[in-house]
Parts: sequence; C-alpha cells; structure tokens
Amino acid sequence: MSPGAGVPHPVAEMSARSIGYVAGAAVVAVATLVAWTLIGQQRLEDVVMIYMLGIVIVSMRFGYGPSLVATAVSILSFDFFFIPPYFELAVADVRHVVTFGVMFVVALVVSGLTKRVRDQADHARDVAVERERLAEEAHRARMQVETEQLRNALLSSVSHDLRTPLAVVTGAASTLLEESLEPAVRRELTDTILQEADRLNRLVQNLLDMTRLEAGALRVRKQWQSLEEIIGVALERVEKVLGDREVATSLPEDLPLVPLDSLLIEQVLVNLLENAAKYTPPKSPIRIAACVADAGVEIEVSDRGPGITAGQEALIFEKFHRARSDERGAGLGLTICRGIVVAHGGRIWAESREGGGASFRFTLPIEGEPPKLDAREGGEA
Amino acid sequence: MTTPGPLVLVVEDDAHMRRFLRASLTAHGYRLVETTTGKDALAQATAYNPDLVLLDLGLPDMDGLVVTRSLREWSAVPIIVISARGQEQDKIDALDGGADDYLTKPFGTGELLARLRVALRHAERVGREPEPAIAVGDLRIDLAKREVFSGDVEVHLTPLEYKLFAILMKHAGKVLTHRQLLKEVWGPTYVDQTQYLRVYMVQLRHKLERDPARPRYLVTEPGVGYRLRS
Repeated sequence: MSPGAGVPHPVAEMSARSIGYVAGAAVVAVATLVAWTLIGQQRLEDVVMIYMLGIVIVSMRFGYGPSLVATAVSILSFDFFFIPPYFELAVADVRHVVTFGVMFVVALVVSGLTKRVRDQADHARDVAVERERLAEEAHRARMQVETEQLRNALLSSVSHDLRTPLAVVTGAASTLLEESLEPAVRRELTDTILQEADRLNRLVQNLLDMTRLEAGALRVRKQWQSLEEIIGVALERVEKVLGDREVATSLPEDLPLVPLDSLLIEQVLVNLLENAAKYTPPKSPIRIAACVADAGVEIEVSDRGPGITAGQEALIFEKFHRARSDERGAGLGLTICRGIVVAHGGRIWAESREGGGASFRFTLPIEGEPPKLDAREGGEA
Repeated sequence: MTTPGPLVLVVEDDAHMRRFLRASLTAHGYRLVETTTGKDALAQATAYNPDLVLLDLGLPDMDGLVVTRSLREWSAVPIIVISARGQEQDKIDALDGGADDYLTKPFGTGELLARLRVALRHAERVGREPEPAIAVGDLRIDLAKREVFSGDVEVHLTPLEYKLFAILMKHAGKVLTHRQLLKEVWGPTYVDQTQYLRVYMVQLRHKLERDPARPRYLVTEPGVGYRLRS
C-alpha cells in the first residue's frame, strides 16, 4: 500500500492477502519437495531446517498471517511425509510432538520478529514522508516571511529615503516664502531644493529599475553601441554629483562596438559613478577603463576611497546593503547593476585596490559581429 | 517700442507644470497661450498662429504624436515635445513625425530656454539664404570651401565624416534622430544601420573633441539621436 494513498481498495487488498497465503502454501510445498528429494526420511533434523527456512522466507516476504499458516502447513507436511506412520497424520513417537512444538514456537518467534521489523520499516517510512511534508511547509512559510520582511524593508527604506529629501525641500521652500532673506541665503536654499530634487529623481529611477528587476520585466534591447559614447552620457548625467573631481578615462583606440542596451548600461555606470562619488572624499579621483577580455569587454570603475571591507565583496551587491548606517539611498544601486549586467549575460564583481580604494568591474559578452560597414566611403561628398 | 516676444502655445494638462512654464517663459519675454488638451491645441494653433508649440506627450485626450502630425499637415511651426525618461520611442516617433526637439522631465529652466532659443533661431532661418560658414564654439565649418576647423587648426575629415558633421552644424543646437541622420548622410536604405552612425560619431569625436569620452559639442541624446551642442 503506497504511503498516503488514502483508503486502500478492498478487493485489491483482499487479493493481495490471498496471494500471500497461497504463496506461503506453495513455499511449504517446495520445501517438502526439496526435503524429500535431497534428504529423504532419514535425517530429520535437516528436514526441519528446510521447513524452518521456508517459514522464514514466507514471514519475510508475505507477512505474519501467511507465515502462521505456513507454519501450520509445514508441521502437518512434516508429520505426513517424514514422521512414521508415513502418509498419516498420526504420530507414533511422542518425541516428535516435542519437535512439532519447538518448530511451532521458533516459527512463531521468527514470524513475530520479522513482523516487527516490517512494521518498524513502514513506520519509519511514514515518519520520513511526514517530516518532508512539514519541512516543505516550513520552507514555504519562511519564504513568505522573508518576502514580507523584504517588502517591509523596502517600504520603510523608501519611506525614509523619499521623506528625507522631501523634508529638505519643504523646509527650504517654506523658508524662501519668508520676505526678509539675504540674496545669498535665498540662492543657497534654492540650490538645495534643486539638489534634493535631483537626488529624488535618481532614487525614483532606482526604485523603478528595482521593481522591473523583481517583476522579471527587465527587457534588454541590445544594439551595437560604442562604450566610449555610453561612458560619455553617464558622465554627463552625474556631472553635478561628481563635482570638480578628476575623472580619468582609459579606453583603447580599437575598442569594438558592443551589443548592449544603452539605457540600462548607462544606468549601471551612473550607479557605479554615484557610489564612487558618495564613498570617497570630494577631490578623490575616479577612473573608468575598458578593455577587450575573452569574448567580450571588461569595464572598470575605480576610486581611491576607503575601499571595500574585507569579506564584504559579495555582500555589497545584496539588496538594501549599506556600507554605513548613516548613508542615504536605499542600497539598491549595486543590486540593480548586478541585475542588468547578468541580464546582458555578463558578470560583475568588486575588489579592493592595491594602494587603497575600490574597483568595480563588469563584463559584457560580444556575440556575433556588427553588420559590416560599406567599403565605399563615397556618394557625392 | 519693443517688439512683443514670441508667442508660445503651451499644451500641458498638469497645472503646476503650467505654472512653472508660465513663470519661466514670461520672465524671459515670451507670450503664452495655454491649453490642456490636444483637441484644444489644434484649435488654438489655428486661431493664434503661434511662433512655437510646447507639447506634452502625456496628454489625456490625444496621442501627442497625432497632434504633431496634424499640426505638420498645415504648419511649419517649431514644435518642442515634453516627455518622461524611459519613453524614448515616443520622443523618436514625435521627432520623426515632425517635432523639432524635445525635453525630458524633470528639466530645468536653462534647458527649456535653450531649446526654445534654438528652435526659434532655426525657424527664422528657413527661407533665407543658407550661410556659407557656421561656427559653434571652437568648431567652424566652411561649407563653400569644404573646410573644417577646430580652433585655428584645420581638421581633415573623410567625405562621410564631413557630411555628418555638416548636417549637425547646420542644425546646431537641435536634436537629430538616428533615422534622420542616417537618411541624410547614407541614404534611405540605411535608416536602420545605427552602428554606422555610432562608428562615425566616435571618429568625429576623436578628431574634433579634446576629450572624446566627455564631448563638449558632439553630444549623444540617449536612445534618440545626436545633437551638436551650441
């Protein structure tokens, strides 16, 4: 009967049981035959062993009931075929009755023991099945709790990160409505509003990207693009955040076109550059480099800041990870970078630099070749 | 008596957005007519014959592209469309459908006024004799002699590079879509071969920009096209 199969089919069960009894009788018949042909009626102790063997087989294979029946049939056969008067169920020598008794007791014990073993095996199997079911349920429940927790973390993080710049904007704007302010102060407050709005804009972009990533709705539309161009666009977008720090670019002359989604890879670079600016002193230099590397390109954004805490190189890409507790921003930037790079078929990793600072690298595969440009450089020029 | 400033038709359904546009534009001498729907916009355009149309693509009643195309059926008025980031296809469609330039929300006053200035300047030049030479910052192109200068140094460009640079200079300050550039420089059958454009833009930057990775003039408009920043 299969575990957890529900109510067993009565007719099927009955015929299964009957088979056991019939088979049990058959085993006894075989034992009798074997004993008769191989041993004869002279060495009775060996004949007893054959019958006992038969009973053990029946009890192991067919269960308790059949083994009891087999025991009875074995004793009767033994009496009938091997005990004088032969072919009669009477017993001439009383000592043989003792033999029957011992046979019966041993057979009973063996049957009992095998039954217990089988019961234990069944029980163990049922327990294992139950345990697996409970483990699965526990796992599902844990997943749900984790999702809840992440959602709550996201909500509270969003709430905090949106409210803080909004608080600044509200404060600055309401102050500006007051009449008596120095022009310099007015200017400063207005500039603050602009900066906070810019920050909010970037946060919203990150949230949108994160949502798309989570929903599996990130569509990568690859086109053959120039890395130099993409880097240029990214640098322009973060111009204000970079301030007046030195940004060096190191790109080989023969860098090939790369198939990528320009808006998405721009976002990766913007996030990496923002991080570099955020975690390093205001005048600290940033470097962007690219090179060809097995079947693709490798791009690196590196800085001379405090670097990455040892052991945290993989952790920083996890959602909501923040390097400092006072840091602003939901900690989604690197997670988004990873999602986008992986969706392109590449990989991204971080390490500390020799001499201090952090280095973020990611690869983008190049499959195929861009359609060849015409050899002609003509037309009316 | 000063001439009245250019008349701008503002098509924008968000009240606060309109307030910002009104404040910014009137402060710089523009006159405004405001509408909140596409249908109304078409009617007002006919009634007022504005010098420029500022059209938000996210209108509730009509697709901005339809408004653009309808306007273009009878008017060459410069149209600047306003859209959000991530809606690149809308902008491309509008530009290919006849719009002159675009603004991506959120944008500041500086960008807004720059776009308006460029659009009006180009509109004004239509019908006039084309200029023999154009100068933008350090860059100069002499269309008669087919010479290009960066500062005082002459720069040698291949025929296609020259063609590409020339069209960007002729539309200095205005965005040109990939499609428009490919069609003008390579021909109508090449409108989908953006990789040509990329390679040639990279080449131009290497010849004309001090830092090709941070271009000052040959600017990429992500997802849309290119602009020669004036």
